[in-house]
Amino acid sequence: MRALALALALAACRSSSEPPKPAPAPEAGVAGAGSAHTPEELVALACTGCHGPDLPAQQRLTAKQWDATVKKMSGWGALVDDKDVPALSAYLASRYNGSAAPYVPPETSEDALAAIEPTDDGAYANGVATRGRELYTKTCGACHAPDARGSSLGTNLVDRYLLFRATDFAAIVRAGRGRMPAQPLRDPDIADVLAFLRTLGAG
Amino acid sequence: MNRRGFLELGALAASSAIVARAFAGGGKLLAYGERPQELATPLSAFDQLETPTELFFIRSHFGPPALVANRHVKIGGGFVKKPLQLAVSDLARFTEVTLTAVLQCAGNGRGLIVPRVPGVQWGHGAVGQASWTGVRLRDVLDAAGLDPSAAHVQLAGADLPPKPTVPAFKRSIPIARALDPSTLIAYRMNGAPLRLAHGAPLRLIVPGWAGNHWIKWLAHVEPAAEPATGFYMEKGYRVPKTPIPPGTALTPDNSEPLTVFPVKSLIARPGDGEHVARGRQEIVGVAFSGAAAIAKVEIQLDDGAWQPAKLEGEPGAGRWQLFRFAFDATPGTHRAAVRATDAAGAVQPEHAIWNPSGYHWNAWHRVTWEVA
Repeated sequence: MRALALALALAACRSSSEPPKPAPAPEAGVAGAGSAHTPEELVALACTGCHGPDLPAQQRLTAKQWDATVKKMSGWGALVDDKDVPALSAYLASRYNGSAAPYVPPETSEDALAAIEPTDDGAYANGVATRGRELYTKTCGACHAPDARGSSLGTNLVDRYLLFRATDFAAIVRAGRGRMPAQPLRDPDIADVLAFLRTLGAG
Repeated sequence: MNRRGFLELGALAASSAIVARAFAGGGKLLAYGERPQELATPLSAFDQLETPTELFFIRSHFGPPALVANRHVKIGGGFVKKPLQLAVSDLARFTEVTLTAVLQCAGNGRGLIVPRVPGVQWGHGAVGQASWTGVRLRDVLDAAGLDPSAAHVQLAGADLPPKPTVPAFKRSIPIARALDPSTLIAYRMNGAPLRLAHGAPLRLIVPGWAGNHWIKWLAHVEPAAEPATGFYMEKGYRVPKTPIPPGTALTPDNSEPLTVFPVKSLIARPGDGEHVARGRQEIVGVAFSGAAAIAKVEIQLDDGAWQPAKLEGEPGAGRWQLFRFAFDATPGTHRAAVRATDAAGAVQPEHAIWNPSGYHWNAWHRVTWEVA
């Protein structure tokens, strides 16, 4: 099950346009902790909860700089076990160093301004916040924190632009991302969770 | 040539063709990050006084908050007598101001710095010029009953860090900069309402100062006796007071927050590596300085003498002018370098001053192209 969840998470990293897939129930704790991961998996698990894989891929750093960067990110909450830090740093330094070919930023393929702005709720309209609170607490709160402001495991979900891009939100929930395993929620469930999260506001 | 210059030229020679393609681009933003968005303007767009909003670079720390039209900015803290909460609609009571200003990320050009440093590896495209419409921060602070003993204004946006362990993005500007009539709380960009990526509904405009002061999704404005604290004041966005050897770290006694961006010019066309038809050639680009108006722009063609380019547009500190330099080209390979000088006497250097975070790169921009 862990392997399947990880595979789906990695698939989500490769392409955000793939359709949502059914997925197993979430596991408690940090998926993969204590097991041997490939370096590519370590990057996906440690880095992509907060930013895309393109950020490390464009760096051209020395081994010493990579070591400092990974330790800084670990201190900021990147999900990498201490014992995996040397392997992750060494992998990044072996690929993204001063001898690597220059990074070529791709052209954006869509309207970048619109890509983060609200979309129609579609199948995720009319959610019920009280039901969403229960579902959130049961399914999401252990990692994203009871107040949804994030924890050492999960990212902040309060006042995020993604809450008003319901289809994108649902795709991430169902595919997983980084350490987050895929969640097989139905459309009305996701609508309820969204309705709840939207009540939290920024404060 | 010093070591830094040698390394810069060596790196450029090794990779100029690929880098040229990477940094020139076409009619779309270039992605240094899709999530959060770190998107660069293609060099070819720098042949206009106003950078179109759809091609204007986007820099994010954590990515945007939700688009909430009535999001308030809170003017509060112990140094105002009358705390305010203001949405866009509440700003109508203040005098509306429109000004034109360059917005440049402090790290623009980081990807060109040798030895390399971590961060978004921007080429030339984390800069643009737009018209900004809003109200003066000074007027808003006056309405809130600013305590004259305040020495700084602390600022924060509504964008929250992805995790509680990630430091919040908090900045401050000295009170004199806050009270400068060009410092605005803006709600329009290039004549249209701000888009979410550019800080909607409200962002700060600090002409002449690097983009890290132009707080997007402005949520908190708090006059104070002291500057803001935290990672983005005490560790990030700092430069050495006096140059340090490349590859070394900042020291506490030789470090200060970066503020005004230095004099700089960029060639929009011809593009590096481009093939163009013979005949009349024109080198076009932009020149700007945070400290003063542009005094002159010079072109060095095929390693010859520096020659003046013509300037267009209204001069001013923190805004750019277009430059043009026309000549008749013989067939073959041509090279050009550009350097700008501002009215305060600052001259764009051949090599940028190295610093550990790659801020304020402003070396001569060079292009090589083929004339058929």
